[in-house]
Amino acid sequence: MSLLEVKSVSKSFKGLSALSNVDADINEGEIVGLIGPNGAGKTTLFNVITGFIPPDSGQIILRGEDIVDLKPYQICQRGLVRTFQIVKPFLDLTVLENVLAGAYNSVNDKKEATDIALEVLEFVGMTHRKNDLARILTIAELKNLELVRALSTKPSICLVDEAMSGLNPKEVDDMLETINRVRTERKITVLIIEHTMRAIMNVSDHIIVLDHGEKIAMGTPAEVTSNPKVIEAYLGEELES
Amino acid sequence: MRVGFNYRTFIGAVILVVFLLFPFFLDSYFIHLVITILLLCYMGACWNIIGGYGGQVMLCQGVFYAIGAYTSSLLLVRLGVTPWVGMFVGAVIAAIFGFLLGFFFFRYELRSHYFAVGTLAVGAVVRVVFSNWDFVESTKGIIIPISEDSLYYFQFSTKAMYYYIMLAMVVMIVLVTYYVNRSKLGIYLNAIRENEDAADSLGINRRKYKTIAIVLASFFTAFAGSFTAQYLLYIHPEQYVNLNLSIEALCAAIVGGRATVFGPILGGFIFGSAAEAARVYVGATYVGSHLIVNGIIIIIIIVYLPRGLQPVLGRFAGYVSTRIRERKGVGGGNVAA
Repeated sequence: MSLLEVKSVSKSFKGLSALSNVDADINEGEIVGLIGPNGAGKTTLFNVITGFIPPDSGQIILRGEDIVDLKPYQICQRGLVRTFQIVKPFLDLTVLENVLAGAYNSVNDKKEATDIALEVLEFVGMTHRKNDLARILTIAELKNLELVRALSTKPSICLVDEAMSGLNPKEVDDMLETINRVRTERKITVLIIEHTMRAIMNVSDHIIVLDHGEKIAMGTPAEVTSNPKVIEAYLGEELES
Repeated sequence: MRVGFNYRTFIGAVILVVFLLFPFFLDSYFIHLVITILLLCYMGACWNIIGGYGGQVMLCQGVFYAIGAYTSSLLLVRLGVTPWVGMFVGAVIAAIFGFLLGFFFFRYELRSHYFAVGTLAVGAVVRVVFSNWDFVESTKGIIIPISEDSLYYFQFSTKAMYYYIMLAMVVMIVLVTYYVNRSKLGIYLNAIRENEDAADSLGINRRKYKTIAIVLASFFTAFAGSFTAQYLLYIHPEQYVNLNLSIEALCAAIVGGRATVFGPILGGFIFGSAAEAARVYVGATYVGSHLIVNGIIIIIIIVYLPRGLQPVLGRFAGYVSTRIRERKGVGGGNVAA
């Protein structure tokens, strides 16, 4: 059975259709890429899945439960967490406190929460930064913090929104490795939006392509890149060059 | 950490002893002044829970203060109930009112400025209600009959007793803040203040935690109201449901350092004594000019120390204690912030 099912979700903003009848199936243990040109509705889909925006119609089913009417925090408590494209760190808190805010999702005790937080920080190699204010971190560290904070809630599926935008090639490689390890070592399913093609082709098992709010293709990276519709909508120039 | 001499505990103990000895050295004017300042510290610390940690700029603290004052006084004057019981009844009523406020305001997502304006409106409305409601003696106010030195009636012939009660209340609110600060509630409120959407995405029920914060703030604020009523023995709506009260409490917390345990206490002392000094030395000649001095203090703090004085002093204390340890040749290590 799939872990997360998106069933014919539609959403329009004042007549402008952002998502129309989008379906998606995500199985446990997969890394699924979500791509599409700017304005294709990728982030809107994330917002709808995580409860920040209610859809006009459709169902979102997490482990057999419809989560459409739930609030973001309730969805997080059921094991689905997201990161934001524009990072939203708690600037005036230390890195450890940032992560603690997520770690308290699964425990109430300070000691246990701190253990979880430190363990996750160790996982991405940010332990040395734990007492620094989030305000002074670099972009790469903020992107990492965003991911770490999400992981600290002990999710079963993590929605990652452009974790690699604004990073240099070396940092992109590090982030890719981290995301791979999220799957292999932490057994967390990942749905990832990404613009860096090299990155997403490497890391994903499946790719979903959105264009103008419609799903135009789904399959392995090889299938998707050879799909004429995708080439037409999005990849054409890149493949020919 | 090295076992043995703990500077923090030592300094804390010294400060507490100094405070306990105050009434033996000060005349009644200064005791009264320190009581007023402690009251400001206490109010600041209450505001700090919702406004400092939760980042919700609440401007209706006077309402909870008045509920505390009116409840204990009415129970005393009409039914002869001791204010010691009355203040708890008042606190519970204030907490219920705080809960309702939080329930509706946070239900309809009144964020930042909207919350501030909403609470401002509540304060204005409640003030009008108290001024016109005969049951609470409207603008006549309530006069609490003077009794002899009596623990039951919460009346004492010396100011020192009031001073000790107020001091105990401040210690209590510091302990409450300390537990908030180190608990899940503290981290959650901090997260909510910093970014509501991010907090939401991390499984934090914002509405629940903001409501808890406002209930705590209103519950403890009411004690201050009951205390003042018993101390001054007179209640008037203009004096209790007062916007200035909320603003001064907020200033104490901000000057000292919001979202810190000792910030409001520190800020209360600095702001309170500066205000009093300005009132005595300048305000006597040019009426009202002390308010300008207060304003200048606030502006300087907000521009140069937006996080207040406490973090600065904390860093200084950390620096000093590392130096002391280095001198003694003890392995320094990181000083916990």
